[in-house]
Amino acid sequence: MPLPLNYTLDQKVGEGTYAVVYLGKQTLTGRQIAVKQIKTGGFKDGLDMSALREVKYLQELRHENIIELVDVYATPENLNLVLEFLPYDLEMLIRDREVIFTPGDVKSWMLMFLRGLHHCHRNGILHRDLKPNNLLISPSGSLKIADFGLARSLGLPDERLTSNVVTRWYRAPELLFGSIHYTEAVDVWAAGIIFAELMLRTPYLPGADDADQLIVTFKALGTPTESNWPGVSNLPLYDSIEVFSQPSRQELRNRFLAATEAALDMMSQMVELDPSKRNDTTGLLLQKYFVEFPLPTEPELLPKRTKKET
Amino acid sequence: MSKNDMCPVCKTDRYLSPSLKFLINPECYHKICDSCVDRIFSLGPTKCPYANCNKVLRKNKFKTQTFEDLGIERETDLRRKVLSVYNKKEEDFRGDLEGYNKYLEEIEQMVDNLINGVDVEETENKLKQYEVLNKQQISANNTRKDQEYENFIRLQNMEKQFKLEKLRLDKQMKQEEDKMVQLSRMEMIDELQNSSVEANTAIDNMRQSILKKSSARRKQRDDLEKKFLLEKQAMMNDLAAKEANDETTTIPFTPFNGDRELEPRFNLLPTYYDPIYNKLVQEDSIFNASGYKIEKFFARSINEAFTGLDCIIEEEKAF
Repeated sequence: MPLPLNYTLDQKVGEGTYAVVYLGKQTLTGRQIAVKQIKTGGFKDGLDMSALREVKYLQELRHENIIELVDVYATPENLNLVLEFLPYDLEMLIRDREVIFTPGDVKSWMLMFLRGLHHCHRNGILHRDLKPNNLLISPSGSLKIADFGLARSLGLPDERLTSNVVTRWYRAPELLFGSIHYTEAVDVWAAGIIFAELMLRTPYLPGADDADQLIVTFKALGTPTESNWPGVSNLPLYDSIEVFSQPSRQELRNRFLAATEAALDMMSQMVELDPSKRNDTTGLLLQKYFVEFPLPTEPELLPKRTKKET
Repeated sequence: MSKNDMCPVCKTDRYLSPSLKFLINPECYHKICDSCVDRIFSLGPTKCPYANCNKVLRKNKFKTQTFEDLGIERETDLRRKVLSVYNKKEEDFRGDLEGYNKYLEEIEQMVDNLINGVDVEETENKLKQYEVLNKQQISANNTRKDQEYENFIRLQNMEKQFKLEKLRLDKQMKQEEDKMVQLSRMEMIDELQNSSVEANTAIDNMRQSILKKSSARRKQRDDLEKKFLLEKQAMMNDLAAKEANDETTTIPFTPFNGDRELEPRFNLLPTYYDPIYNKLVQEDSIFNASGYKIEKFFARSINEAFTGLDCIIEEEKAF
């Protein structure tokens, strides 16, 4: 049977510059799937880069907390990625005021998120676009990391990475300073900001533009200096802008009223300014935060989205 | 007037101000009247106003005395402090009686040390250390204690309700009995006066109905008692089941969902040196400032070189 006939496309759910997304079914099993149809015509450079990245990395990664690439097939006009069907994302839940998060819910999401991220990192893959609306939720409540359009694997030290990655609000300070040799720590930073956002229910560091992002970030977490981040002044875009002092523990407690001490410990280790002091996913999963009370909520019992997509 | 009735700080006595109240602070247990506490400590922590007492006191730590003897007051405070940290129960030792006795002995030793001022600093340190080490268990024990207290209150409420209901029934029974006595007296008078058949049967009927009622009440009371015992038993069973359940269904938490290599398959020699890349990473300060670690690159390379060697494609395909 030719590949396209293995799947039916039932309903168009979204369209971007490079792709159209359909809901459909696997004809053989009846399993619900999503098909991302990449437009190939009209671009003189050929196939869009992010589609290649997505296929390349999702093929390699198989994990409970990473979106599953079921299949890939080409038609004369299009390249089609058949993905696992995941009805909504974490951002919708954060914005939905009718949904109440308990500390156990936040813990459960962070646990699944970090397990997925740990799997990416141990395979040498950086996601580089972590944000709540790239964290999808399955019908059974599992969190899955999606959208590997900006992902890349770490290569030789002399490869230069572009610093223009990650959505602005979740961008790590070394990226803001234009580093071209960054590490997994940029993903950990984004995860830390998402953790903060889960507790606050509002974006933690919403910068208006790239310059403002530096100010917002350092206002909240202190300005890096040579003493707390050796070598920072050698980064290309480093600029001794306004100096804000490091927030005290008490200020953090006031900002995150419901957080326990272990939760604050974990967050501060994720949003450490100096990337060499930032904890990695292995260290984070072993944090006390995950074993202290309240225990992480079972995925099936996590809050579900109340409103239907309009 | 006894010395006890005068505030040693402001010399106010009970004669002039009958509403005089004394407070003490568990730092030094010196008695100070409440208006002095307000006056002296409102602006923040200060030294105790007693001569030669250099303890710094805080207003929120002042409390009313429970025991007449300050020695006892102090002992209960210290004991409470130790027991709030050492809060295991006999059940926690699972039949290890010797262990439990040792534990109790340890508690007594610490309380005694604190009371008599023997190795106070050492004991405090030990207490603090124990608290840090067993923080999770302590809080779990505290929640259990709260739970037990809640259950106790529930049981007590149930018992109270049962008693009230029983009292009401008893009272009704008593009233009916009184009525019976009254009736028989009336009957007697009636008989003595003039023995009319109708009056007699009427009274007889009445007595019959009362008797019926009171036996019904008695039955009701017995039923109530039975029901209460059953409910109590059910509650106890429920609690016991819950406890047993708690112990059996807790699955140990695995941070990586069991998916982690604890033993590395290779060890990197710290002396390994790559002339090109080590030099590059050392010379370009961007690497260092971005948290780049050359060892991680080496580890990744070795990993990539051997990944898939133990993987049989035919077996993987079968999935």
